[in-house]
Amino acid sequence: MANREPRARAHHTIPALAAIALLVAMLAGATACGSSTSSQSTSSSASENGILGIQRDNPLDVSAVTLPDVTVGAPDKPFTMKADPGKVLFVYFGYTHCPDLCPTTLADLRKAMAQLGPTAAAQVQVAFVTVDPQRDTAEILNPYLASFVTGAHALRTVDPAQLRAAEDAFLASSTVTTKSDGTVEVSHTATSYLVDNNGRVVVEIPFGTTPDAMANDLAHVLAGQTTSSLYTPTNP
Amino acid sequence: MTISRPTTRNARFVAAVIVAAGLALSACGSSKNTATTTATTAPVKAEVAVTDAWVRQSPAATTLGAAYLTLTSSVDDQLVAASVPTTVAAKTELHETVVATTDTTKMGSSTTMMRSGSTMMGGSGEMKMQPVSSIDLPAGQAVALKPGGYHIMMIDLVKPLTVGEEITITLTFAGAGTQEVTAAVRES
Repeated sequence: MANREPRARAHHTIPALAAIALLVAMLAGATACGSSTSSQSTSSSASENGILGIQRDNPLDVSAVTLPDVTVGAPDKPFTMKADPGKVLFVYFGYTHCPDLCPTTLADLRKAMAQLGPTAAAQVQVAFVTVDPQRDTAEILNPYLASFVTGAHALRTVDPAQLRAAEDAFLASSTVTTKSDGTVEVSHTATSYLVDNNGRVVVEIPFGTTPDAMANDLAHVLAGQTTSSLYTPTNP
Repeated sequence: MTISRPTTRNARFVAAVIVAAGLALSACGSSKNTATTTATTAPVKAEVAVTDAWVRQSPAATTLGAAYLTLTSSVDDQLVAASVPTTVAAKTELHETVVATTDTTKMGSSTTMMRSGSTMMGGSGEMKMQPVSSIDLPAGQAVALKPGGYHIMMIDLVKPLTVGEEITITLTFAGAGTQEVTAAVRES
């Protein structure tokens, strides 16, 4: 008991706490219409290393994921899900015909990067994977992303199996359905992922995370990347 | 707080129990009975206060826009439509972002969480938006149309929505008639 490493313990408590938080949130929603129950807001967050997002005991390994990079001026080779040395990679699966979730997340990321300041923000790499490649051409993706952050990677594959494999690695998923009236309905995982230079998902950021919390986690991962590794693989 | 016309003694008893047990539950937007009551028979004048109206700057290369605002109705009412001038967008719809699926096989060790006080969903559950025919406005309760929840979707924008612009949105309520609101375009 005395030897138990604090951070590991914090990680192990997350599932239970998350379940409790979910339950409490649901109960609060049922009895108080979901209004201000801020006292419960921190139970599933703030592990002892200062990260506010979700961390797994065994971070997802996405280093094997490669996707075509259709960013203007990108080298003619697939993008690999690893941050460059000393940087952190922010990954989001979305689509441009998305008026609510995607622009909210990207606008919050823009705010978070502004908070970090230009030096740290330059160490944040952004990759946006379209889950709607039929409509999201490179001509649309590039200006779309540029209206939020500069230098974002637009990742697009028209091979459904390749997209599925990439999503599977992140435990994400998406569904594109064309309805009888011709409208296209897209559902997708709205989580953002912070990937380190080993290709490990070190933080999962739920939709609705504030720019402050995003900036906090980006800064913490960057600090881990430049000093010692934030995450030590259990199987070296 | 009154429960509208219980038709049987039983219903009146149940209603009394609900009221006694706690008004919070019966006042919720998810409660079926109260929210669908039309405002026309209510003694209080049907009025809706609109606050925090804003429109998100449309990203480049897109033709969709979203508007958000908070509505507080004096009586039980419903927002049934919203529209913007055709010089802004061809069509306007009420939408809601919802959790589409919860794939329990992918939950892993710790992937689902909600934080109260704001809309926040994590994990691998897919989210999507869908049109809604109306949004319930329980009396006296602020209902926020906000990112990740209800929003007013503008379809086929005539031109990009740019910061500094102001958009006139016409809101139609079941009881309170129509009301115009001016929403400024913001980055976020």
